[in-house]
Amino acid sequence: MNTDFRKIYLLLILVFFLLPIFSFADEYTSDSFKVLDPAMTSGGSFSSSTDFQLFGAISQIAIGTSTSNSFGINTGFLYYPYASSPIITSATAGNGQVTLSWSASQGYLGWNVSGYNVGKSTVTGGPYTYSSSLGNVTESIRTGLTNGTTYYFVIRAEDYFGNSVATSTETSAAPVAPTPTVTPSGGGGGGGGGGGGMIIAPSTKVVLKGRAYPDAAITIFKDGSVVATPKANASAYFTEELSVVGGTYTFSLYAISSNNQRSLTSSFTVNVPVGLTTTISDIVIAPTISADKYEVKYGNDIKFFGYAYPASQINVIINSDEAIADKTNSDKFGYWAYDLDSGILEMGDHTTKSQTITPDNLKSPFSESLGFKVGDTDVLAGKLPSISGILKPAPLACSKKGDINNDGKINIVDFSIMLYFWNQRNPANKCADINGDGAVNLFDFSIMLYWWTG
Amino acid sequence: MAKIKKIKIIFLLSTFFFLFSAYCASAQSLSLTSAKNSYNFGDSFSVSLSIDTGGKIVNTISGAINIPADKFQILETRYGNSIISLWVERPTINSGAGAITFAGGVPGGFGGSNGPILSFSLKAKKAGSGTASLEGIKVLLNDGLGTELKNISLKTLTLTIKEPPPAPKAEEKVLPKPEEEKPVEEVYLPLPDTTPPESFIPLVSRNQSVADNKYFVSFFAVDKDTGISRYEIMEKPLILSYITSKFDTPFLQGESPYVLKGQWWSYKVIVRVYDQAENYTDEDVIKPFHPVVLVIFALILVVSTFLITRFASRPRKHAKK
Repeated sequence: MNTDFRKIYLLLILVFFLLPIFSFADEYTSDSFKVLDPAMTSGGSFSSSTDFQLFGAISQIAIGTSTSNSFGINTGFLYYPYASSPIITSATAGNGQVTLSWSASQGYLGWNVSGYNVGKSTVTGGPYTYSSSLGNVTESIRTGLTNGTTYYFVIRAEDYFGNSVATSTETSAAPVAPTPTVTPSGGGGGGGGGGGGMIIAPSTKVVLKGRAYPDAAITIFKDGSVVATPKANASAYFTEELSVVGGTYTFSLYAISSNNQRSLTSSFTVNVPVGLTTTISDIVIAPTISADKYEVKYGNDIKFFGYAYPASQINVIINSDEAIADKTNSDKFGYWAYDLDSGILEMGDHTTKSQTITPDNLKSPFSESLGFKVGDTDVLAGKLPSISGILKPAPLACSKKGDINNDGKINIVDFSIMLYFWNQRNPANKCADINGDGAVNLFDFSIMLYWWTG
Repeated sequence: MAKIKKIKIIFLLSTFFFLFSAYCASAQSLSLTSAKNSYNFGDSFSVSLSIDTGGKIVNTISGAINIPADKFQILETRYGNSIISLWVERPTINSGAGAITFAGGVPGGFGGSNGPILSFSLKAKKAGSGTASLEGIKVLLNDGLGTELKNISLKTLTLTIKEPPPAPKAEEKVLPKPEEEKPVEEVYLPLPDTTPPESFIPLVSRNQSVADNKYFVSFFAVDKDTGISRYEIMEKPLILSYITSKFDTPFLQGESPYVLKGQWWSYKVIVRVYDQAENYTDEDVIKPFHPVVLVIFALILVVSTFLITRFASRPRKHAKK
């Protein structure tokens, strides 16, 4: 009994497997052509992913339109979808504009007209530039046109997918300026205005160009906030274009050299007129300066070095009772160095600063003043004091530059903390009193602004 | 020969002149200027304060402008288009005393002969002569030491207000001739401000010394026309704000540093800055979860993973039987 059932099962399986072989598609013909040996294909039609998902469509060689409102698929090459042309009923000229209205277009056999767009040309017959889809409307005002110029318009009907399905015939119109009206004196000028307004708002820009050091990282800030961080190229040139609103701005720049030294900030306050590009060029960033020692033993050499514009003359000024001015040169990588015999100085505290003079005679501002001491021993920069017992003063917990929160930046967060303690005597956060005079006031603010990094 | 001598004399004299004129060159000064020196009764007009730094670079300025309150009514101040970008005290009008006080600075400093600081509008309310003057002015150099700029000349502004036209007597019934118009009150004021403040970047941070290490947000915006008037801050908790807006704080007015209301959860902090013409700009920043909250999350995750795996492994033990 079981074996009989099994045989029937097998037979049925065989039949069902083979059956599909025997299914054919119909041949079909039309007046103009016929399809021979058609195959059933699972082909695709249009599918729109916002409304529904098309898992597959069985269609013959056809065009098909699917919409999500009704699940109708009109397929088959015998369908000739068709839309009637829209007819422009009026084109009314105005001041710098033309108002068009047209009759709606009808769709048949699967095409639904869902929108229109307007084609505009200054030459009859086109080529036309088309607007974006206006939606299912029958009127449009085309603005931004020049008075006195004749424009030629066509209306295109679109289906749901934005394909153009029908185009109207062309119509033309020329916008005209209204005649000026006379108004009594005392008020502002009436009428006569308008006429071909600007289509594109003019942009207001500021271009900053200059020289720093090769491959330096430049930070540019506008009114105290960082707006750009360009890099100087291998020849130390940099340029940056900024879009602004228009008005008075202060642009500040500083550069960080390849040995991570920061230059002093250069600032420029300019009045930027609207619609124009203002260029600030020939900016030369001051050189960076450091020394190999904090303190030099009287009679020994101390080396000042840093980065500047390549192949330039570097003026080095040493301030003591008698200011000493000397010069050296920067190499092709922008590196400069100057060895000073401390024997020519008095014992005590001194400062030094440097300035770049480029080969084409542009001067940079002076660098920051670097302090050093001429004393009894050499104290090398970056090294612990010798065991001879001279203690280097403990590194100050408070930044003398206004980095109150010690995050390496001097910016609005430090300013906010300073404002929290504003006008307080001996504040809880001693670092807010940058100059250590016992009060948090304008003087501390001024010092912070000098070292501002943004 | 005489001609050459003449030329030499002229040359010498002009050299001297130029040498001396260098000493008379613009030294540092602050000036108050207006379009005209005299206005009609009832006119509204604008006065500007600007600085000539005398060739030096300055970065901070503070002080007060005194305006006779009996002669002038202070209408508004505009300080957006100013060399000052960070205000410690935004220009504030004290109508009773007839004064405008201000304090602010610019990172990197400013050097120039005509740097605008602020402008203000006055309405002439009594005939006569009135002088606007400067008081308590402090200008600091951009030298990293906060050195004061000394010997600043403070230029005052004296304005004359003309008498109003005489009131017509009651008996005279003379009809005004059509051509004669009543003198219109002239207005020399700038155009209304439609430019919103510039975009800015607020920053969230913590500091031991500020409000016991609570999270706060720092922000400073710049406006190019009338100037910043106030800031408002809203906090929207992350994730929860998608479900309901019940936990969102309303927009609360505050200044930088603004201690946030929500300290534990993660919030989207929206800072809205208004200029004096009520144009505004919104910027936002994310406040992270408090570290303690993150630890709690991690613990919950570990404990729940442990419990799930324990629970999941039990039925298998039964099935094996």
